[in-house]
Amino acid sequence: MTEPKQQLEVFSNTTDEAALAGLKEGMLAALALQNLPELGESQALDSVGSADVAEQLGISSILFKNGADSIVISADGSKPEQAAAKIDTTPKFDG
Amino acid sequence: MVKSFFGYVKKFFTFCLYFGNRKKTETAKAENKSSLQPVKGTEGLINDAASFVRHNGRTVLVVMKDLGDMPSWIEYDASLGQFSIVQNGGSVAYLRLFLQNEDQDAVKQDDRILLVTKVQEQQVAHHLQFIVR
Repeated sequence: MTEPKQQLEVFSNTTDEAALAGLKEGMLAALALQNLPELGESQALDSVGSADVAEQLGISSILFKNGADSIVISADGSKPEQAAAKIDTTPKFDG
Repeated sequence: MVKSFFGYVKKFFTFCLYFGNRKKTETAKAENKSSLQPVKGTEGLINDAASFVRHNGRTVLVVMKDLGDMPSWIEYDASLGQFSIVQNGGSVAYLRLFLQNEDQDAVKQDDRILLVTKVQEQQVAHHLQFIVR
């Protein structure tokens, strides 16, 4: 039985998709690190595909929040045409 | 005879005075040189893309920038919504990222953070102490 996939909530200072792709890769690689370096030490991150890491972490998509703006991108990157969708966070008044 | 004796004494004191002052001047020159050396690392506000996440007990800050120095520790000021990345050389880079209230409360429990930066186009994770104010 597979675990249900979840959406990862991330705070960001940008909603630029090209920049988010780089942030996503670094973030997922850091979250997937099995053995953390010692405190004060550093470790180069392997450029493992985001799709594999997301699968391993059980993450289906990532919600990037930049103040009032939000953007969702697919974690596996398998559907580039559906990778980004703006979320309308403005309140709606019906009358 | 007495005159020549005092002549030698005068020469001796002049000698001491000259070398004493020369040492001071050299030290001052060396200090000036060191203060003119370029600051190592990144100083001031960073405008590069950055993101912050907490997931499964791990706190990660990603900054798409080569800081030019090894980071030493990170502070987060909740009132300013600002991260301070303190580097080994003493430079401090600032990053504005506003967390929502519930996340600001949650982040106060964290004392370790993984900072991911770019070092020569390679992403590197730094395991650092994290202080929240």
